[in-house]
Amino acid sequence: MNSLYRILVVEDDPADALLALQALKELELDQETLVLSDGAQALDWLRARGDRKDRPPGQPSAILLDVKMPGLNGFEVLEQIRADPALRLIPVVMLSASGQERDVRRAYELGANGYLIKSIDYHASSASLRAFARFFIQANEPPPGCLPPLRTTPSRVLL
Amino acid sequence: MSNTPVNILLVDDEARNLDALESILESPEHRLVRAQNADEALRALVKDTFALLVLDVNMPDMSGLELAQLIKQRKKTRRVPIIFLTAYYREDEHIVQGYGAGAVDYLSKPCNPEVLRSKVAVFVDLFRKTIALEAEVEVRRLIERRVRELNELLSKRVTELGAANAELETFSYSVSHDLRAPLRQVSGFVGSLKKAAGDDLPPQAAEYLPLIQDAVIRMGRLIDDLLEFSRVGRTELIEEHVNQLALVEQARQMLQPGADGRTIEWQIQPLPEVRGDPAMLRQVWATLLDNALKFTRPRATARIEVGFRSEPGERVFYVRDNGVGFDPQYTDKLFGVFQRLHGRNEFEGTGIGLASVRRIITRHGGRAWAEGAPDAGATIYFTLPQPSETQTAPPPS
Repeated sequence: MNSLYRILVVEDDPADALLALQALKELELDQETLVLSDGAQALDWLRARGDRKDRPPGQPSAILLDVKMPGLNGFEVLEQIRADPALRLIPVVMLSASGQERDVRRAYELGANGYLIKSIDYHASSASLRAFARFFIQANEPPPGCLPPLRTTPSRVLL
Repeated sequence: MSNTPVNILLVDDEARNLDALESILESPEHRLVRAQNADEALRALVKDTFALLVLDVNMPDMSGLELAQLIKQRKKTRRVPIIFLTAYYREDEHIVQGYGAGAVDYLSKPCNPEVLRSKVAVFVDLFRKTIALEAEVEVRRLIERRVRELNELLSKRVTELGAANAELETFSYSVSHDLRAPLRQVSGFVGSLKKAAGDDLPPQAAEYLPLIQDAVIRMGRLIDDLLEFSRVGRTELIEEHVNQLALVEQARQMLQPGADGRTIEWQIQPLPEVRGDPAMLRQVWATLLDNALKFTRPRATARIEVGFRSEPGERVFYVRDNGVGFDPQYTDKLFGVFQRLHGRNEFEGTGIGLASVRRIITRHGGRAWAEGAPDAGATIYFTLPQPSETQTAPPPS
């Protein structure tokens, strides 16, 4: 149940990745955030295969996934996550510079749990980023006083 | 055309018969060609186009009927009509009729000049009409070919345009993403700098930070507006019935929050329904009313008038205000991209609103222009074409 990382950020732009980490630092989440710079690496890590086969078990509470990346783009990574029974229940928030309705709709149609427009106004987007991170971390915690979560694979959990 | 003589081939083995035929058929409309045997006849037929062949049935080397058969077998000569001259009218009649209708006729010798002339005249007339018809068919064929070529060119252009449009779409998507990313990062790191350095920054330096922030946000708006402007030029026009008055009301309500606390006299005339793209026309009204509100800000009482008049061929809409106006010599600049006639400190804006308005109106087949004077208000006009008869006619009930 305990994963080493609560948040996975998939972002190819190092400056954007650094800014995301700074936003999460205000929630003291930066130490629990893993940043990967492309879709293929992210999928390898999530599936614990390839170079990542020896990583500690567990999945993040949320994935913050950039849309425009070289190689696999964010939408393609999202599709693979949703098609993979072992990954499909992990919350995914798309990060995109585009606020076009078409892109937002596509993200939700592919199964995104959130869509964050990277605004020019950094304060606005960093606040949204924190809000999403907090929401999904809390959503994945059992409410106080509950029984501990069942040790079941995510694929058997019904939504 | 009727002035050009037509060729008539006279075939008879006896020169005096040819002489006789010539004297009967002599006319400025005819060019008579003589042939005294089948060979000469065939050679003449290959060389020229004939309206008619007058042929003696009995010739020593080859009978007229054999020659006729040869003529009918050749592609080039197949359609030349033949008048047979025969001494034995009754015997040959059935043979002659075997050649089929229309292009073949016969006369018994000695022939009656009047009958011969009138029969020839019929064929000459037929020939002329055929020639004229063929010329017309040829012209049509050429026109059709040209139309086909133009259509092919057009569909090629449409394909090219589609490709160019798709490319532009991708381009502006990249622009919106890639031009914004560094700005966002500048803004982000300015925030980080403030947080990291905090009170350690010299006061002078600390003052620069919001200026950097403002510049970044302004650049962001410029990019957004430029993209919007290019979208306005590319998106497909969706024509619907549009209630202009409703658009004006929507724009007014949308802009109301920015005008709270101000005294504004609105004067809005009834406006007709038009055909056009609702989203684009909404943008036109929003821009014009936004401008009117903006440039009347220094006035104690802002007066904004929205009106309409019908003129031959077009409908003229306008928004008039009693704002700060503009120098008429810059009228054309008003509609340029990123053109501003006022300082940024006086009136905000990127200077793209009216450029988009003009673009939208031009795409609707109308015009947009402005009238004004410094400190004496401005009127922005735009036209839309009058609806055609079929559109104004009441639906049959």
